[in-house]
Amino acid sequence: MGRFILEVAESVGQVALLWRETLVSFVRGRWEPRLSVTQMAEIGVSSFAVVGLTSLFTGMVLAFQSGFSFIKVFNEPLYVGSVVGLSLVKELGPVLTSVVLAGRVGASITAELGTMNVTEQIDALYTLGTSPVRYLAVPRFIAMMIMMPILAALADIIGVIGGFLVANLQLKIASGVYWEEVTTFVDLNDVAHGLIKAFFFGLIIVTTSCYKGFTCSGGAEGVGRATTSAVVISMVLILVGDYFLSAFLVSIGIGG
Amino acid sequence: MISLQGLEKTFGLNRVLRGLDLEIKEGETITIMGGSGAGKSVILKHIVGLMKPDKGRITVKDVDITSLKGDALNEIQKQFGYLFQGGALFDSLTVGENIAFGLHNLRPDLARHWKDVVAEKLGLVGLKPEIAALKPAELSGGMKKRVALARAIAYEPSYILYDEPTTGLDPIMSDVINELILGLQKSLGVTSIVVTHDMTSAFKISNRIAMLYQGKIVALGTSQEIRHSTDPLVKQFITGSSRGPIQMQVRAIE
Repeated sequence: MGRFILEVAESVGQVALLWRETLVSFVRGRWEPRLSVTQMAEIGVSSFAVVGLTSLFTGMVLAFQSGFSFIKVFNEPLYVGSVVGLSLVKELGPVLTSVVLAGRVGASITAELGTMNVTEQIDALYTLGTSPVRYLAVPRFIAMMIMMPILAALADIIGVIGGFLVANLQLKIASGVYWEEVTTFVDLNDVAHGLIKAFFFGLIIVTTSCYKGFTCSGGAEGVGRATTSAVVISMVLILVGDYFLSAFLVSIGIGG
Repeated sequence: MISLQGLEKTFGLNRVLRGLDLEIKEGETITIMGGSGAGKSVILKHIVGLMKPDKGRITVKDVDITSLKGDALNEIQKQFGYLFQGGALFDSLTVGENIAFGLHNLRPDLARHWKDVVAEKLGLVGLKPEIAALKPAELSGGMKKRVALARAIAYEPSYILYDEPTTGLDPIMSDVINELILGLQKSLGVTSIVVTHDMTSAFKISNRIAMLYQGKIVALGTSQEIRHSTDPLVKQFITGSSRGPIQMQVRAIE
């Protein structure tokens, strides 16, 4: 137990150092926009399809479940638009997007950096006068923290459209009614609530996966272990952090 | 001159360096030999600042680099070329980009003509300029080592550190690498520090040989002196016998 606490404390310290070096490199302008753009394409553009697909079906199933539940209670599908809109914008959009990205992007970051680490490529960067944090971590931090809210916003929109398809075609809710429910109950404050969370989930994913990649050791097996634990830790931190972040944001009046 | 004084380094329970002293003269090729896991690579990583000692001092041309960081350390690193054991070429870049990688930061004056530098260094390691466009995955083991060597010398360092340059290569390719090391020595006049357990290679390329055992240098002399040494540790190592004072532990932890 004591050892576990020591290890956690050490990790927290190293993460703080990683953040500091990333921030210092960023503020001093010691980063290459070209690398960040490549990473944005890698993280954002190529994740769009899977994020879109998950959110489309999430919106559809939300409309389906809420619609039929309300039919049981009220004999008609009331408030489907507001259930779909609020759940997606405040919770499911950002959370599902970040869970997908933790699996897709987080894993690949850890695997890539981890492989570079065990094959001494990270040491090589250093001997060639390049800070590994500046060259590898900073572009990924920038890309993740920009792309995460954008992807979450797109997930919100696609999810609400998915909900609309089911509401309109299956539950026979008039399109005007659905959209009015969405727009009456979801305001910009709720959108901000979700996107701010997405931003912090992005930070969780990129921090965990870079940290695990930079610290992994023990050959191919070590890379495998680091990758698994990066994904698991990211997901747990996202879901646990979601509660506290939501509570905090509501307490300061964002998305109450 | 590079001087290592009383270096100590412990990983977990494993005391790798236990008060190591060594002086490396300008212009020489010195080989540090020792068993697998004895800490040979650890010494190189300390010299270049990739690792910090728990105790002791490292000076390069009378500058104490032990606690240097950031840009100050970067300045020192410009003087070192490092050939990693597996080459450590960047998979995502071409051979040419790999070789030119350090120029931008370490030698901006050469960076403008990077293509010429790449062709020249490839020539020095006996490779054709056409391979600059290939990716490292398309190269054989021996070619990777040579490209890695070209990368290490691209910015014209005054010290070259070789981490097991011949390990994993066939005897002929090993000798090609030995010749390259000797050739670079002559043409560039650099100081070379080689760690290896390949004795053929060590005797061929070294001016002096040091033997690392249990975290200290236990023998140091010219190639001839080491070859004819009566020290039982040295004798056992260069003849490659499992019988003698060196008992390989199953685990390197005592």
